[in-house]
Amino acid sequence: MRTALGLAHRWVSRRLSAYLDGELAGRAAQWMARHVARCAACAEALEGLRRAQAALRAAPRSAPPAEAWDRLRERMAAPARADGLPAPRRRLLRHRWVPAAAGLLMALGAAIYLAYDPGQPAPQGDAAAVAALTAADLVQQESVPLSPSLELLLVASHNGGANPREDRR
Amino acid sequence: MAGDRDAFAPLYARFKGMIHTLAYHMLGNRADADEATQEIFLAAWRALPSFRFDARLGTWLYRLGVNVCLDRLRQEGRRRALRNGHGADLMRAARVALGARVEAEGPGADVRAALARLDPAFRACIILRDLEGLSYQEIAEALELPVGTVRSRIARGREHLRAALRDWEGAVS
Repeated sequence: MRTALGLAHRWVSRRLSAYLDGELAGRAAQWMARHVARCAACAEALEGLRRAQAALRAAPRSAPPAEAWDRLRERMAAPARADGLPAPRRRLLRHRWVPAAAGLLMALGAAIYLAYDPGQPAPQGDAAAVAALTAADLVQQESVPLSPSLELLLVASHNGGANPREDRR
Repeated sequence: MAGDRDAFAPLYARFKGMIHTLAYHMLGNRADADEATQEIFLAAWRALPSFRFDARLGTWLYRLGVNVCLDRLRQEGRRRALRNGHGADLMRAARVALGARVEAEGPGADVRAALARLDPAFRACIILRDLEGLSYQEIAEALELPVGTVRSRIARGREHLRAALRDWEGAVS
């Protein structure tokens, strides 16, 4: 009997938080309600969680300063150089690995061409190192950001992408 | 294009409050929250072409927001650990730094102080649940975690908060 009560208490104590949030349903929620009504320790723990949650919910909201949008707009403008590129080029750039792979192949080709001399043993140092570094730089480069289709996005935000918190209110 | 940037304005206006509140409580001070909010919306602007329309926009922004904040906390922890000459526990260093910087202004400062001492992964779940009002399922989607993990993190995080507030209430009474 003592063991059964202990197990029940442990089961409840691990789910008090979910119970507080209404995340337990059906028999689990009913069972929890019955246990909390009888168990002073669990009732006290639940009340403590409720107070902590209430205190957190009362914490102030914040917002960015009014001038933040202008600053953001400037920063958004900075990398938008690829917007005027023709469509096929933009499609290629959308796959970031394409320019990196092309650069890598060119760098390796150049390194092999420069390093190859039939009369000399293959160099072990500079050319191979330069080729490797060039390739690494190219791989690290980001392709230029593309102009997003904001109309579609904003339609989605109105239809299904709403702020969940605002939806609930 | 300027037109696209202007079209971004309603999106920014709609979500700036919730993103700034998330950043403020994740990072613990207004200046970092201002900068993180800029980063988050800039990341959103750049990532818009990869936005999947099967995800809710708010959930997607929360995901970006939490990731930006966690990155900032990791970087701060790393810098602090390097300054101190040891790098054993970067996230612990980040938590210490954050706890020391929480602004003690206005009501709820005690709650923010307790929140700031939580592990950032737990803190994100608590903020999304109690401050932003997301369901467990929505948090799981935003953070790309199983619902069970979200439930566990919220429970453990709240337990820490409850203990901290109990201590604080005991100290002031």
